[in-house]
Amino acid sequence: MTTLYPPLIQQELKDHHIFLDTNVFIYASKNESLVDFLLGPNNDANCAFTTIPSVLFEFTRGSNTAPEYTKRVEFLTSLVESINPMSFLNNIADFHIVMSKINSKNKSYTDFLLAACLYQYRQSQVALITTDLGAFPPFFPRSHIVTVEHMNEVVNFGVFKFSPDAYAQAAAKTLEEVAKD
Amino acid sequence: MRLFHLLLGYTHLYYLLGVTIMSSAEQEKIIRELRKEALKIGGADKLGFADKPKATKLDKKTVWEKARLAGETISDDTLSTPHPAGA
Repeated sequence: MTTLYPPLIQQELKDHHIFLDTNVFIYASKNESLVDFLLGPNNDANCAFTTIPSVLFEFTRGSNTAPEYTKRVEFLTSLVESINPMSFLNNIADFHIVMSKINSKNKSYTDFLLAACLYQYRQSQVALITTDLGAFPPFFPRSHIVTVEHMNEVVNFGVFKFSPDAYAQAAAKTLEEVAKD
Repeated sequence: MRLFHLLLGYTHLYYLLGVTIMSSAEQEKIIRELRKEALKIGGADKLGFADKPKATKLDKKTVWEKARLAGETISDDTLSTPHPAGA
């Protein structure tokens, strides 16, 4: 089982806060090479992993016993520096409207929340890793693809960032349309 | 906060029920404000104390051991079928 990634990915993600989606924790719990990959940017490029309560909920959902729940929580918290409480959520009304119009086909609230984090912290160096390659609108460009070979399956993880310029254009157009309706 | 609640109430009804509860002038005013906010790209919060995170070095052996224990509680079927929440 191997994990393939662009040779410059560590350099390009240097000093980033990286949000991890639920699928990253699920695959990492089964695949040592993915854990190896994740520890590279952390240990060699000063990247800090973070996530949100909704991901913790999804990752622990389905635990049959308290010890199972604890094992999942212990792994998640061993990988992330923090779990963002997302207290800013009521202050980004423009983002709610733009996403509800542009990304209405994606029903996942967790995806919306992770996207909101990239938007909210756009002045910092932030990125998101997920297997949901088509979950986000174009103002979240994909900067890298990481390919994980797992058993008989090949899984692609995308590294996504937020593009302020692309968002400004999309938001201006969308909000103009909303005002006309 | 009142603006936000008004907006939430409006958008909820508007998108789900197709019912307009505000006058056009009120709608336009709110949207104008939102548009200003959306284009104010420099107004975001920063994450952490500074732009650079203070990443704690992780020990591979420890993390993988915790990962392996967590992985034992997760069915392999979870990986081959789409996650219900889109994960």
